[in-house]
Amino acid sequence: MAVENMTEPKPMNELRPEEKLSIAGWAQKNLFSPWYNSVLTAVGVILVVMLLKEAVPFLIDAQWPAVTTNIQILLVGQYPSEELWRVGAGVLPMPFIVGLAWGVWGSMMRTFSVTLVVSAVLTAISSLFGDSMSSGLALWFTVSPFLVLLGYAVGRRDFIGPRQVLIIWFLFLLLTLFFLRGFGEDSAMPHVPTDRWGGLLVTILIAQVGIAVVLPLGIVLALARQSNLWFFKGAAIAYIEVLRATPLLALLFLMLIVSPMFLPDVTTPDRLMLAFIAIVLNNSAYMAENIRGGLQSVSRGQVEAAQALGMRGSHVTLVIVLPQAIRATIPAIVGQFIILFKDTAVIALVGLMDLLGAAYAIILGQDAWRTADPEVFLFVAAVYWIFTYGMSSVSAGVEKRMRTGAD
Amino acid sequence: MTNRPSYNLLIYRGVPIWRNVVFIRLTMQALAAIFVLSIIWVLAVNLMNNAEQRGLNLSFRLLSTNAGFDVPYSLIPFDSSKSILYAFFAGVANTLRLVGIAMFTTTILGIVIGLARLSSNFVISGLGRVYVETLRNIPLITFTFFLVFGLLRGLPKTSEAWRITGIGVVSNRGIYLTSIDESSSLVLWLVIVVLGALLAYLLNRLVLKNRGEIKLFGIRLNRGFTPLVLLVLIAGVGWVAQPQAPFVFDQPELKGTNFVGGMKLTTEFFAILTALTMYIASYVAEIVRGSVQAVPKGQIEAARALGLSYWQVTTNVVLPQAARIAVLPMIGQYVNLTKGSALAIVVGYAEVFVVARTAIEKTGMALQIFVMLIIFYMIMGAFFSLVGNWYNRKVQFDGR
Repeated sequence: MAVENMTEPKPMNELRPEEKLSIAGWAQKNLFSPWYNSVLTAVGVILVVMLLKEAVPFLIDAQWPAVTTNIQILLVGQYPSEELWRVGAGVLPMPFIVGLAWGVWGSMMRTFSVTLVVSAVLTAISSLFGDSMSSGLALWFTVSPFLVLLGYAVGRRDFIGPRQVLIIWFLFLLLTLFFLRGFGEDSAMPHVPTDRWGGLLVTILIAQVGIAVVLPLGIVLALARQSNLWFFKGAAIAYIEVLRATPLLALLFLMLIVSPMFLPDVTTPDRLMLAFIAIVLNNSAYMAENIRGGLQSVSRGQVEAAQALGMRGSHVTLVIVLPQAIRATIPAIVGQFIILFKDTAVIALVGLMDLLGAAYAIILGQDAWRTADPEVFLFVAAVYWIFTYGMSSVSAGVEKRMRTGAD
Repeated sequence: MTNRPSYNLLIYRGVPIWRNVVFIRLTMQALAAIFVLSIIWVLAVNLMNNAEQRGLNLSFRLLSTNAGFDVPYSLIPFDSSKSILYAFFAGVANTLRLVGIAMFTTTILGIVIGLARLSSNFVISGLGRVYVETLRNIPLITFTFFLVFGLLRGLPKTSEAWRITGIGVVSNRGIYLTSIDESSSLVLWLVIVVLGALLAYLLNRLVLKNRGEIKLFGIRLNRGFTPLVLLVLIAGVGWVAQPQAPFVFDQPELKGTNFVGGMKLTTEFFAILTALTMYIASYVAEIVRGSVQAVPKGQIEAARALGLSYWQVTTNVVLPQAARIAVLPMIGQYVNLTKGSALAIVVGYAEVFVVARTAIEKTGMALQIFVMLIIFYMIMGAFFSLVGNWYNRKVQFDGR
């Protein structure tokens, strides 16, 4: 790749000296020429002014206490207060791992990490004004930026690479889940059923575990669909096409209402687990199609060359085709992760307390905040926005790196 | 004819049976099939047991029994004495109404915002960018909650309804649009318009045949534009010359506590339509922008070098190629729209998913109704992909 780039002539517009414009010149070029652009500028400015005239008084007069007094519900749901330290300790590795990833992957992860650090710092600073946030929570938001930086410092070292980060992430994720779930009733960490979990915690956990499950499942499904064994091919096609056609919301209700009919009478399935399965089923079908596109993009010559070298069939697929296919589809894979993250919000509609569900419960359940729906939903939307924006920037970084061919 | 060694793979000498490719393939598939079938078997046995214990009837015939519940709004006439299946189709009709209108509004809004993002004007492209980046990065359902709560609470009472002259009124009892009804002179006017279109078509043929060399009062006639002017002129004269206009506008009037006349949209429909339109439009805008930018620069430069004007380059070179690139992603967004319409459950607009939910609650026939629901969504998906592939084949270049 790098060699090719050197031989290619530079595009003309990169050789052209950059124009230096004064403010007036910039305005002339971007706002007022040709004549109709002046009209458009005027219309745009009027629109902005109208929006600000509505938005600024609202933001000043807003009932922000609806958010601040309920911050605990929005973040962790109804997780028992005396066990909250477990949440704090359990999710503490997450900022560290974000930092590790930043250190290992470099510029791709920079915007994501910086966005999270800035959000955490702002939250910590806002806890200084007003006393609605518990000291433990404030402490967590104060510590986590430093953990990101620590992770970054470690991630820059040579002994840690992408594979190690993924393994550490997965192990810590499992550990966090056990930590939050707890063990027996009399142990130091009593069992906390998942219907007490909630808020941003559930959103992030479902997204992370979902990502960890959906990618391998999607790869298996894509390989099955591409195989020439008719049973695997048929089963994969049926799975992918049925699940892609069904809206996630319908699948969610199907899992919660109909799936207990198929289980032995004694079992009462965990509702959060069922919702999680619905999200995984839906997203894995899409993921399989993304990866199938990548598999098709690997040139036939690669397979033939590998066969000519005497490699076994499974070896050709796993060592030659699959890595190239995944490399080619990384932007689509990250895009699917973003969709999965946004999809988690749907579980609020079946009464589960994820971030959106918690907001819904606050507005409908607490008389004092019945009319505070714009504030609470704005806050929730902002939190989703921060994470999704961060993930989009990762995707953009990957694409940029692939375009320039740097490795 | 190459001289292939013919050997029976199953009894090929020298390779033990467990390393025989054909044997391995058959066994692997058989094992997987047995595994999957046994899971299905276990689930089916569980279902039978549960059905027996709870007295569930799993027959699809039950769908033809009386619904016994009402569908709040229905495009096709419905009352609670009709069958459950009929209720389902009332829901389907409502879904199609929502999706059909939303496809139209989403496309228009998406194109406007996409073009705004392409604008060289800093303020306009900035506004487009803010719109797209804000909406695309939050979940549809969060946006729907935000919008619906705010909208349903923020709509004015009928006495203080917002009136938009010529378009309609907005109040918390519903949105009333000025409807267009035909009058007695419509038929005659349509005849005139059809004749005008015929004339315009013939004129266009004439202009094309003479390669644009026809002149009228010293002005050269254009292909396309001149016939259009002719058509508009004829239609306009036909409109004015008759004693009664071909259309009458039915304005909604406040009578007592409610509005009468015009076309009524329920607030539920309006809310879900607005939410879907605004959200999906942000994706459509990105498709519009992406496909215009994907047109190779050489195409534009070549067209300019041939002396085409900016407008000609846009309409004859850029847009047709951009449309080709945009077809399949747009179909994907229409499918998303169909699936997103299930979010009407937030407001309770009676589309198919909401009807299905009600039916399950009232009758307990969860399995049957979900099977119907999935079949419906699969048909919709198949329809969109068929139309998309057909259109795509039609507009793509022939292979080179």
